[in-house]
Amino acid sequence: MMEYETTIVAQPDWSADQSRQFCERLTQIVERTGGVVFLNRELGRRRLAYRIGKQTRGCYCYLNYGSNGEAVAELERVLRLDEAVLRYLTVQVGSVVSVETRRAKVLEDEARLAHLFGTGSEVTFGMDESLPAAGGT
Amino acid sequence: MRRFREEKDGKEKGKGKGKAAKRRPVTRRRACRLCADTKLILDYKDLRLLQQFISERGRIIPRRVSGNCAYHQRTVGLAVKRARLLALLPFTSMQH
Repeated sequence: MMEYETTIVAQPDWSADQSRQFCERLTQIVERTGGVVFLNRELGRRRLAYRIGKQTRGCYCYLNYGSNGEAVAELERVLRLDEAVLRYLTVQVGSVVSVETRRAKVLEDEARLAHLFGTGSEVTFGMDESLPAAGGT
Repeated sequence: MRRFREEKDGKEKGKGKGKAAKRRPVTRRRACRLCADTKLILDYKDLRLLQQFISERGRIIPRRVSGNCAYHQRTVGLAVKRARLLALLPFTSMQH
């Protein structure tokens, strides 16, 4: 079993509820295909560094899971078909030795994620300003 | 090749004068920051760290300037490119 993480950029008009539902749906897909979800987080909305399909803002979601690869294929198939999804990126993080040890590290990881993206799941990542403005110098 | 020529010139011209014809400016070799601090984990989501390795125009700073070791420069390149895919960093500064 390998460990993967998928980051999704979705359209920004979603309410907090909708993005939560979206995350839940992705979790179900992973679990249905025999994977184990370690972490599932909405990372909030932020300005995109460049426009994607006329959108200047995006709603970011993050999913960390273990799977033998089937979940990745199914997840990416669903993401490709979903028109609300602007971009997604799946990265193989490593091989999972034991699901339990990885689960135990989830809290630690979550703290790190919070550090990277800011704590709130709404509107800002705390780093919006530090990004070079799209179309700037 | 150029360096070789300079050295040769230096030998011929600079004999006894104390000054070689051309000298490369003395620059101190910078230590790789990511090697020095093992707590720094490079991640495509860590924009604060990545921004230290890109120029204002969004280009990756060469390791000649940043002082990164070859291994870490490769990881920086990979992380920046991943961040660009997710529109966390710009491909160019001219995009709208």
